[in-house]
Amino acid sequence: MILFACRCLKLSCQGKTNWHAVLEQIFQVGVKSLGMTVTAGLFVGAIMALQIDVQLKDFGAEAFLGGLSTSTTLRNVGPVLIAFLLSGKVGAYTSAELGTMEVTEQLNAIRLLGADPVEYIILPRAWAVVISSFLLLIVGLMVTILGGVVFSQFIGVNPLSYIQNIPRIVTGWSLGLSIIKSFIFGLLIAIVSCYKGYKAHGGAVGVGVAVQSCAVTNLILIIFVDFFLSMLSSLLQDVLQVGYF
Amino acid sequence: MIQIEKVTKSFNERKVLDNVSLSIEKGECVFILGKSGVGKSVLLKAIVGLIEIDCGSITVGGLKVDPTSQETLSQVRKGCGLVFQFSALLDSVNVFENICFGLRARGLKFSEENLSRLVKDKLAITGLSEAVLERYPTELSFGAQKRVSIARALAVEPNYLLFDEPTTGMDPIAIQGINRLIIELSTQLKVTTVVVSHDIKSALEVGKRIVLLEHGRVVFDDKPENFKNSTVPLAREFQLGL
Repeated sequence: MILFACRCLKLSCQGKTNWHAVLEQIFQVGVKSLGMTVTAGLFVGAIMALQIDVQLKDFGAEAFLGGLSTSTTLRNVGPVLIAFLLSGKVGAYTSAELGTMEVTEQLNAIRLLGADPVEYIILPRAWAVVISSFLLLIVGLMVTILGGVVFSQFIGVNPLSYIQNIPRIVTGWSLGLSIIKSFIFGLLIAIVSCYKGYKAHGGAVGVGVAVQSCAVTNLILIIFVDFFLSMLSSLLQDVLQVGYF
Repeated sequence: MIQIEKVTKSFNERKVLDNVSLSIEKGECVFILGKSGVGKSVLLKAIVGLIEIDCGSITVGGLKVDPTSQETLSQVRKGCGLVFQFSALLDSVNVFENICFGLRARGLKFSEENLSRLVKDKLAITGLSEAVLERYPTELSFGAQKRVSIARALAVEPNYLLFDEPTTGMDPIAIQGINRLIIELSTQLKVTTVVVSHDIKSALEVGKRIVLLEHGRVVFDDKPENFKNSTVPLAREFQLGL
């Protein structure tokens, strides 16, 4: 998979990406996933607000709800949950499409006609998944914050107070971490889904195995990478003494 | 000329091709027959480097087929057109784009007008109307997909045209149409044609030479008229199917 990713990167650096095809694919995988991302994001924000409020009530610290809920969402829960959703929708779609192309010999036909299937088919899809996933994650995170704000009034927290508390606790470091995670998760989903689809074999069963493997690998990698990024962020914050409120 | 020398290929521990040697001269129309799973399609794909053989050698037009050398492989494939068993048309583009895909991929520059004319000419050879050009492969019948696949292979003006089970799954009228097309391509366009099939009737009608594979080996290699009188057991089995 690493060699595959390096090959895609090499082709990209050589300017072999067909950006027109990338835009088409962004519409296919990105735009069509917007509704699901927005809906899920709203509920993730609401759930975070609800759960954190329960904990804060024990300490009489409901005033910190906006900041803590948003910070937790941005730093961790938001990127991970939305990445899970996208790996299911975008990742599964891409691996199924590429897997079907492989088992029906469309990729062989492309090779025979003088094109490189990685360059012609996979690279635009990979870039579309990276870009779409990143943008969808950002939109998703913004919507989770909105979900928290909207839901706060149902749990007796003034939405204005919720919003005013956000900049007190959410730092640039949280925002930066969130953006970095969003990009890396998007990259993971792209590489895993394209690779699994490209390597499918054995007819319909093979495509099924590829999609299942894509989903599982994405979930595990997202969790592992989230852990390491969170650890690294924490260590860097301690060393650089930044990012604290 | 296609030269196949002592080619062996195994998958896991199952030997599919066992020391196969074969020469196909320029302009010949050769049918490679055998039961299902005997290695016919594997041989066809090995000729164009889609499958790497275990030992032996294959040369096409004087070029050695070497899957490890992208440059050589590219040169070999420039002269070949392969019509896949299930057409392998690109689902995401329409018929027009499918047919001219090879031309665009090879960087050949055409004006839109010339490209359109070329695509229509190739489509006409296969007997399809221009009405299908805007359609997508999933909107076509199996027979129409096969014809589009042939047009796509012809668009790159190949010296060698390879067919993988061209008549499988088709009705008798469609089979006749495909057979006529292969005869025209072979006799009028002088394209070297290799057809992998288990359709003995088409082989006897269309082929100028029949090669019979059994257990990965060549057991018969001669003219169709000699096939009818052959005493090779598998040949007699095929004759019973007539």
